[in-house]
Amino acid sequence: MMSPDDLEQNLSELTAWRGEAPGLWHKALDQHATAKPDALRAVFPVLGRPIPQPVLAAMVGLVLVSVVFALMVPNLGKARRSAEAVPAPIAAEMAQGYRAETDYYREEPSFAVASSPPPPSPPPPPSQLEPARTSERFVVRKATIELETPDVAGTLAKVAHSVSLARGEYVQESSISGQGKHASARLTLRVAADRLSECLNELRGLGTLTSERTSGEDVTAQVVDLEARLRNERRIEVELLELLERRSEAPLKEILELRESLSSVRQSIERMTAQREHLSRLVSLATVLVIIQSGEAPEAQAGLGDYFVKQLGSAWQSGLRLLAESLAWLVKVIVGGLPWWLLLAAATWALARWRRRMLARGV
Amino acid sequence: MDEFSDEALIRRFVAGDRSALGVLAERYEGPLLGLASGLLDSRELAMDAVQETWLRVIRYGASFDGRCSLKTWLYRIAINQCRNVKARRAARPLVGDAAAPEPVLAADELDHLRAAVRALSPDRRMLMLLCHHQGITHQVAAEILGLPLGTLKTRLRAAMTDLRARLNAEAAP
Repeated sequence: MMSPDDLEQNLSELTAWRGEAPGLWHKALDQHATAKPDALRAVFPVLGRPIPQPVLAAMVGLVLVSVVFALMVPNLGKARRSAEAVPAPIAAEMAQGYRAETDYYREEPSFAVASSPPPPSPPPPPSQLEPARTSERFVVRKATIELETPDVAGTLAKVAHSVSLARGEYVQESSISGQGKHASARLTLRVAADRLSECLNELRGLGTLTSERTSGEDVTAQVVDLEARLRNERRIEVELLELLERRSEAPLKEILELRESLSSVRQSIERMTAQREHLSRLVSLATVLVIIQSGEAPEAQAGLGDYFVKQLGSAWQSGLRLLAESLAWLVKVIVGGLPWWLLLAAATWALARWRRRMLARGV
Repeated sequence: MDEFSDEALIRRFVAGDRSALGVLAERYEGPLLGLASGLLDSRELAMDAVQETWLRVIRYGASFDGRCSLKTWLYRIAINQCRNVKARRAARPLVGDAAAPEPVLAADELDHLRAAVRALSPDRRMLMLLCHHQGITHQVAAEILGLPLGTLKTRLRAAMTDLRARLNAEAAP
């Protein structure tokens, strides 16, 4: 039975080396000198060495940029899709600038408005009508313009006078409310579609332009459909009239039924004609909504001190806005990229742990 | 820093001074061989493990960052090489190797002790031998094994109890 001291002593003996050290470090040096680097390290010689700080920073930066791009790409894609969704002519006009945009809509309404239904006549075969019709487009144009002016009532009057009554233009609606600084007015103008650009130019000169929007709605499909249905109804009307003429000696009941059908077809024709007239008006006359608000008259030339203070105030406001936007962006990146941050943290932790182990093992 | 401190020597070696490694080897090769032979029960395997240890030091000396002492680092490498050697031996047992471990010391009492230590679980055996190895304090052993000092002491006590029990069992008729 060993005493505790003996046990300690003997345990120590178990790991004692008797004799000279055989100089294994020499052999290791020789082995290292003759050994070929393993394939992986030959390809990636940095493996197993400490990563320099700049390289590490660059890697972290790269990962950050990737994360940010990963967050941004879906939005970019969405924006691209919306851009692609814009019809080609509109996209082209956007590229050409605002003036070009207004010119795009300068398109003559292509179908004449008939004041009364034409006399029934056999409609031409579709092959003669369709090519002419399908090559045209019918666009309903709308514009909204917001102006600021010190004299709302005066500007309202000027706007109302800008319409050309001779060309069938008119003020559809107008209203004014408030007084002094709180005065505002709204007018809805109907101006000839081919004069929209000219009209907008005129309006821009009546005050300080604060906002302007234009839009166009293509109603070609509705027009084509309406005309086709109208032609069809007219054909039926002609057939019914012919039938009525041929069967003048038919029983009264049949004649009454034929007249009833004819009446129904004519009602339908009138309804469609009215729709066509409405569309025609929409296409031939653009709608312009003018919003006039009270605004201060341009200030007289301010002194340098005032200008300095004003600029500083403006810069301060811009700075605060930028700070808010930056913080919002930061929050978006942090919160939106949370799964990626967690993955990155896990990967970094795993890599660091692996490196520690490798270094400890000397592998 | 002392010109002949372990850390200065490894730096000199990394800088190209081969003799610095010789000085380190003078200090540590014997103790490392002793520990390896205790862990592997074979002088030959112990020499393999220590040679591999030096090879790792040569290859990766530049990556030594001084976060622990060189001694700790060396012993960590040596212990890991012993594990590797043991794993290789388990995978490809050599003829006449494991069956008859080469006696390091020829003394009955030591043989009993060696047999009892060999019967311990690998972790306890490692702990027991490392903590009683020449010049290794409990603090250094804890650093080498990556354990908190308290944990090391607790485990060492348990291992010692286990060892005593085995020795008593052997001593009993």
